[in-house]
Formats: sequence, C-alpha cells, structure tokens
Amino acid sequence: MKKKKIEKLFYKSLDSAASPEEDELLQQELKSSEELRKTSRQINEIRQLVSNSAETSFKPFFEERLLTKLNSPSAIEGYFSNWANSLAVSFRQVALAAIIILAVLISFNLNAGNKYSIENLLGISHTNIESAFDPVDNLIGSLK
Amino acid sequence: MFKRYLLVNWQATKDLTDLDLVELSKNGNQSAFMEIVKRHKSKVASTIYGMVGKCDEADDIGQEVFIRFYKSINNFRGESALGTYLTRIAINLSLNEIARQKRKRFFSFDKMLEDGSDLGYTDKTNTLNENKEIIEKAVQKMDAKYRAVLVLRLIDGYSTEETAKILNIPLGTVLSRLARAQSKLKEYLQPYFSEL
Repeated sequence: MKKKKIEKLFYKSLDSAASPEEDELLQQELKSSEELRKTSRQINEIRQLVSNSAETSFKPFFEERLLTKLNSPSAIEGYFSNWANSLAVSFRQVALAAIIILAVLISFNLNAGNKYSIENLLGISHTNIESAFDPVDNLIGSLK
Repeated sequence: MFKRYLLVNWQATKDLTDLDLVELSKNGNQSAFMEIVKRHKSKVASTIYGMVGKCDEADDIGQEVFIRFYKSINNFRGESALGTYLTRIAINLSLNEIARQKRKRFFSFDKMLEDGSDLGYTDKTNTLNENKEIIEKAVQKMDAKYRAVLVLRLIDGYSTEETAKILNIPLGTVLSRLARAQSKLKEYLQPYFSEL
C-alpha cells in the first residue's frame, strides 16, 4: 500500500505536481529505498529515450504541397466528398439491405397488380379525382 | 495597423508574432499563413508521429491540420497559444485516424499487436535507428488515451496543465494516465535496453 503511494508520489514529483511536503517525503524514501532509486533511474531514462525519439519533420515539400491544396478549388469540395465517402462506407450494409427490401417490395407490388404501372409499382390503389371529391357520390356513399 | 496590410512578403512576415500572422492570414495573406506553417510544423509533426507512428497517413494528417486551421482561422480568437491550438487539432485528427485504423483492422481481421507481446527485436544491442523504432512501437502499443498524454507531456514537452487543457480532461487524470503510461512503457522497453 505504502509502496503504491510512494510510487504515485514519485510520478507526481516528476511532473512538478507534488507539494513541498510530498517532495520531502519522497526524498526520504529515495534515500532509504534502493528499489525506488532504481525505478527513478529507469523512469528518467525512459523519459529521456521517449523525448529523444521525436520525429519532427514531414515528408519533403510539405509547404509546397499544402499551398497547392489550399489553392485548389477541390480543397473545400474534398471535405464534402470525404464526408460522403465515410458515410457511404459506414452505411454500405444498411444501404444494401434497403435496396434488397425495396426490390422485394417492388416485385411484390408488381406481382399483386395485373398490369405494369407506376401505381402498381408503388402499391397505390387507383382512385380517380371524381370519386374522391364528388360531393354527390360522397353523399350517396354515406347514405348507403 | 498599417504594417499588417503592408508587410506581405516572407522576409517581413518572419518578424511578426503569431497573432499578427493570424490577422494577416484572415485577410487572405498566404505568405503569412505559410510562415505559421513553417513555425509550427515541427511540433505538429512530433505530435502526429507520436500518435500514429511513422506511416503515410501521418503526412496527410499534417496537411489536414493546417487546412482545417486555414478554413476556420476566423474562429481563432487567440485565447490559447497558436501552437497549442494546432496541437489540439493534430491530436483530434490523430485520434480519428487511430479509430479508423482500429475499425479497418477489425473488419480486415489483421493481426493486431496484443498487450504483452514482444516488439519484434531480439537483443539489447540496438542501433540508434532501431532504438527509435523500438520506442515508437512501444508507444504505438499503448491505448490512445495513454499515448496522447505521453506524447504531449514527454515528446511535445507541454506541462501537465497544458496537457489537461489540450485533451480537455482533469489534471488528476493526466497525472494518473501518465504514471500508468510510463510504467507500461518500462515494462515494454526493459527487454530491449540494457540500461533499464
């Protein structure tokens, strides 16, 4: 338990986040614990290795390529096409399933009707404007 | 004010502050914008390479960082340092790329480096380049949230407070992630470095 606490304190002190009291406690622990001294040395070594491993340059002609992109009118369009592409990739399976369902519905509608028409294709029943809006027809219909 | 509109060539722009350059860029001065790129590309590169490793996508992300900044330059109010602002964009785009690669690997059933597996090197006598590669691989093995803290703190040299602000997480979380990342790194690197 104490070991964990000291280890936590040690990491805190590395990032200058320990209070003076905590620092003092850590110094005492460092004096007395060989293991902690070893860990301290290792972690500092790792920090050094990681800092030195930084790659700080892009491929050659970075600015030139950037300038070309900035000046090409497709730069803005590129955003939308990228967005559309990622959307297409994400929903490819959904779109495929929707197309299959649509094809099944269309073929069902076409088989159910007697003739090939847009109404049959969409499954709309045939209603003419007179029967829909003729008040006399409607009145007779309601009396029946 | 007059100097902002008058100084348009690179020789002049290189003496200006970041904020002056941003103001000039807002008015369409590309020389000023390219000076911003020159000043900050190294830091953006170290952030991206640290996050996604040395791959072809890293350069594209770098370009995207500056394109995004160029397009949204009017939103930059100078509340944070320009470098920090660009690093934030770089981190977000890198995290998107990491998520994309993860999805891609998942769907293509590629072999992923599993936690605890070795880094592919056999002994402790490595050249300088090999050392860099080993460290890069070890960093890449880490979960993105630990990697981001490690890159910002140890590679980019941001303070813990700045790291917390860039990642929009509490300071305590930065410290605990950093501690965890370093102890993981120690575990990964110990077999390859005699000094550890």
